[in-house]
Amino acid sequence: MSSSSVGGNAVERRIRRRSVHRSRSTAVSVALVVLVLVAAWIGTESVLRAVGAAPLLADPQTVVDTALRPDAAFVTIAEVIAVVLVVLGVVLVVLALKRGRQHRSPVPHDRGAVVIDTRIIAATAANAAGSAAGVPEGNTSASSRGNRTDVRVVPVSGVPVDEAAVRAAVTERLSQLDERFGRRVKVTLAERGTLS
Amino acid sequence: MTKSNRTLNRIILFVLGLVAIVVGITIGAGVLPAVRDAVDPYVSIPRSLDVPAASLWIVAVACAVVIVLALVWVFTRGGGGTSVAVRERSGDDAVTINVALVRDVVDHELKGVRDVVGSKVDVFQVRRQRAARIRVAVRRGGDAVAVLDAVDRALEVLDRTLGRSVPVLVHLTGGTRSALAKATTRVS
Repeated sequence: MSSSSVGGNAVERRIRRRSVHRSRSTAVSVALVVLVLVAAWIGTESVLRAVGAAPLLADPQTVVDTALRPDAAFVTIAEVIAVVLVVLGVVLVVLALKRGRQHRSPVPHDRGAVVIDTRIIAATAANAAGSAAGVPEGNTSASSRGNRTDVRVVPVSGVPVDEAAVRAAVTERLSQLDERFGRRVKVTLAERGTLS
Repeated sequence: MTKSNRTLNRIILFVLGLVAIVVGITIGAGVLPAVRDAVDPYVSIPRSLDVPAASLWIVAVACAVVIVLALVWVFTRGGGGTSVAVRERSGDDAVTINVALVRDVVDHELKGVRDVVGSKVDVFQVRRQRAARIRVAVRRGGDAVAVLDAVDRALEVLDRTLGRSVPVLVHLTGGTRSALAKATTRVS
């Protein structure tokens, strides 16, 4: 479900969208700093060569020659550099193209834009299951992924737990956040109970 | 939330990635026969390349331009955060409300609410409007529905206090602090 269909005014839609999707600022900064270092080195070598001074590591002509057709000593280094560059490039391209969703869901709400972490949605499900099953809080756990929620309940020995009732309670609670969260709820009861 | 241009960020990443791949393949073609054979039908990579003396200054200037642009981009990232939550202008006079007031109202209204561990408020300038981001840390095992109701009541108080409804983003988070917090009361 895209965040734009959840409603709200333009500014709230925008900040909700920017909250749900990750900024790539850090990746861009790291990549640009590396670019700056490389450019600084190339620039320095070019200037040194142009004024006829001794190079820092190697003058541009040597670098180009070595990169295109390395002699025996540089074959391994060239291979390593080539592989590192290709891997790095693939990582950057993937970072650029992936949608970058964070583990958060937009939730429709009357006032304001609301975004809830996935683990809090799972916590809410576990909370509802715990009160419906009448077990201590530590006996329930839940995990959410997208719109589906799995709830696990460990019953207290001697107290039967009604799976359907638990599912209904979880569905009811999650539907108060958004109807789509309540659609796919799975409840698992542990075989063995615990002593309370 | 900040002003950073995310589309441009993605384009920069994409271009840098492509450049890295191309340079990597070019170097790889020189040393790895397999890569050379794979690339051969599409492009012929020169075996050697002369670097004419005249181009050295051009290269140097290009590098300087790249460095300046990259540093400007890195150091101007973010931004858009502000400490003023509301600014009301009438003629020459302006009334501003600091984010601290919003923070106090939200803190006060959420204090004592079960399952709430803490809250953070900051204000951003988004499209020439001020929008508040309210991050509410929810205890592990907490109930988001009850917390959201409490936040709604806090927002009502906030709207009354400010005399207008500021655009807000409510983010219910499970930070590290909330993971460590213990249940204070049991739902039964």
